[in-house]
Amino acid sequence: MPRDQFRLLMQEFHRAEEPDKVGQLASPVILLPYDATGALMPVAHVVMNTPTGITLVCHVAVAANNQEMRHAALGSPVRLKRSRTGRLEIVGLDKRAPGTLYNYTLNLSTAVMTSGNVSALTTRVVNLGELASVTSVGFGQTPLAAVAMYDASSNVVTIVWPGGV
Amino acid sequence: MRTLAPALATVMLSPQRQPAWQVLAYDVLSSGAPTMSAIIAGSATSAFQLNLTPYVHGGVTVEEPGDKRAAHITFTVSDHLGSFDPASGTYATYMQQHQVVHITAGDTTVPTSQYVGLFLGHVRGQVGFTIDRQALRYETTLSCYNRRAVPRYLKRRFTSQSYGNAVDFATICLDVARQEMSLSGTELTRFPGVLGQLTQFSTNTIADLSPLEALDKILEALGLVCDFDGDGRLRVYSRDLRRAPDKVFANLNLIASIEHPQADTETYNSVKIIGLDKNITELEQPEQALARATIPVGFWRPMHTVDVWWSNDRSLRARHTVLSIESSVNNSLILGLGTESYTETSEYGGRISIGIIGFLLSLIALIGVTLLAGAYLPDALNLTAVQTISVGRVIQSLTIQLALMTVATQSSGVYEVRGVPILPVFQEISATLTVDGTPDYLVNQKEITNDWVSTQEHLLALALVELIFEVAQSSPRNVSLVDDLTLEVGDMIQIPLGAAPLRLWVESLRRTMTRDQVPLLDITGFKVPEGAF
Repeated sequence: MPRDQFRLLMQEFHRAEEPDKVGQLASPVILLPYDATGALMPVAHVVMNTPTGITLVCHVAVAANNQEMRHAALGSPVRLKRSRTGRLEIVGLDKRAPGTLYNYTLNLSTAVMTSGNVSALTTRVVNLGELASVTSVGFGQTPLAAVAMYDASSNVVTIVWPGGV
Repeated sequence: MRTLAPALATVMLSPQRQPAWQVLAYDVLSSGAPTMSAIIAGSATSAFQLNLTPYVHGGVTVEEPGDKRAAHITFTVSDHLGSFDPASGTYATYMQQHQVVHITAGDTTVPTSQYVGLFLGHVRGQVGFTIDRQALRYETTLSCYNRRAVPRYLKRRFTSQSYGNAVDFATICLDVARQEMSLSGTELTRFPGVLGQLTQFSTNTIADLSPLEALDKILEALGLVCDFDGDGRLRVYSRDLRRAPDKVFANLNLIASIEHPQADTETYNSVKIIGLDKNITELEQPEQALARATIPVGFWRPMHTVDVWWSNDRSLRARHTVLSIESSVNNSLILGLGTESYTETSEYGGRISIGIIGFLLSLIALIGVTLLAGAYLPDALNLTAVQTISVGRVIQSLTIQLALMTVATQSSGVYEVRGVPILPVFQEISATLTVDGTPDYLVNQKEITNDWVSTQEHLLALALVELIFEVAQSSPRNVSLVDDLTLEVGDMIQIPLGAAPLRLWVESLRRTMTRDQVPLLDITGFKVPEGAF
């Protein structure tokens, strides 16, 4: 079999065999009115590693058979399953979490690598000392126990809880 | 790269080559048959060996496709007696599936013992047999694949023993080869004893992988690939294109043709490596109630110490724990003399101590003083009733009632310990390496997930090897040259071509050996980017 055909096949094979994805809970699990009738669905925000970097995915549905997830704490690593059409669901707790992503470029003529941005998103409860500074408004804007996403330099990227789209 | 015997190496350099090859079949299925290890070591008895060379019709084609695919040969043997009829021929035993075929090559001027192995593998599938009465032909066709296609190596999954910290990857690979592939002795002489990369976790286990999957995954972390050589020995070759060429051709005398084929393969220009951080990350969860305790105290137990744990199995860890008093022991005491304290004894629990000794001692002292004072008080005189009143005894009796109340004193406190539970998790680390200047919309990224990669430095080193390897595939080359018995898949050759030499990574090889001619070796490979060396 020609090599390029073989490689295409192998790519398809790997796609089919793609393992579950890992993520990290960025919010508590809540019940969200999910359809037009207001039926409630347990959902949570999740931070996950995607080809474009570490990304926040909001309101990911929790699989029906996972009552343990209802009590999962913020920051818990979770396992995600992607449907063939690209919809995610949280299927359970996991032991590995997405971490730091280092981006580099390579100059082929010199074989020299150049360091790019470092992508590392963590989510945690905003502590009392930070409440005044996460927004320009100061105290009162961000509620106590709000959850924020932080970058590799521990700067707040966004408040992910309460809220999320 | 194969090492040739000195005499054969000398002949290879001379223009008077008289190429020769032989095809040996081994019976490994009969009772008393030699093991693969014995065949590879050259110690198999001749009783189970058959030299098929004189009967080979039209030559032998050896294909080594590389890229973790098994080498393959097809050849035909025939004689006028039908000796190779797999059903009833004299040599039918050797014409069965799973028997072993070994192809060696050399020169007629050197002994066959110095020939170099080009292929060793098993007969696979049904052996073909043709009787053509018009052409008076008895032909048997065999198709063989090398040990990379052995079912046990490819498919039988295993779970390894657990390896500790700082174990060289080669140790694990060799254990897999010995225990799961039953390789030993000569079969492992080409596998390195040290790979220079150590395990990072205190426990490392390979679970539910086939032996070749396991070896490929471990070696992938080092930019290596495993394969079997022409003598059936396990070996590794490197995908690192920055290394020096294995063979440098001084001129084009031995090169028959060089082709830049048109290729529409979409090659990768970016690589993403995902590994597992060698440091366990301890995630701090939101502060929450870890333990509650209701603790009673009284006169007969004025001090009470209770150990509390964050989980029943005492395995949950927490930090920054504090005592929250929901109901104080002083709520039912006067003067607030009860004491309450909390100590974090470990990450798994703490100790709550409450006491009312101060309160009790104060009361006892007060009682004692009052009784004594009562004894010294003079009686009062009631002139109307002409009687005396013992004021001191009245006070003493009231004091005794107070003492009795003290003895019956009981209180209790309700406490909650709050803290931040710790969740140990494996944190992924990843690195992307992209060819400089590639527009975002043209990035074609290859993703490799390998838990044997555990540090940023390791990620980058592997990403560099893989990206140069992938980029090189956009420049495929086909080269034909006079057969060079030293070349193997994974070798790098350098050919003088124009201003800059052509460095070619050998991805696959094909040679057809017929009688009385020097075979051509067809190499499919790709040009190493100039910047890589």
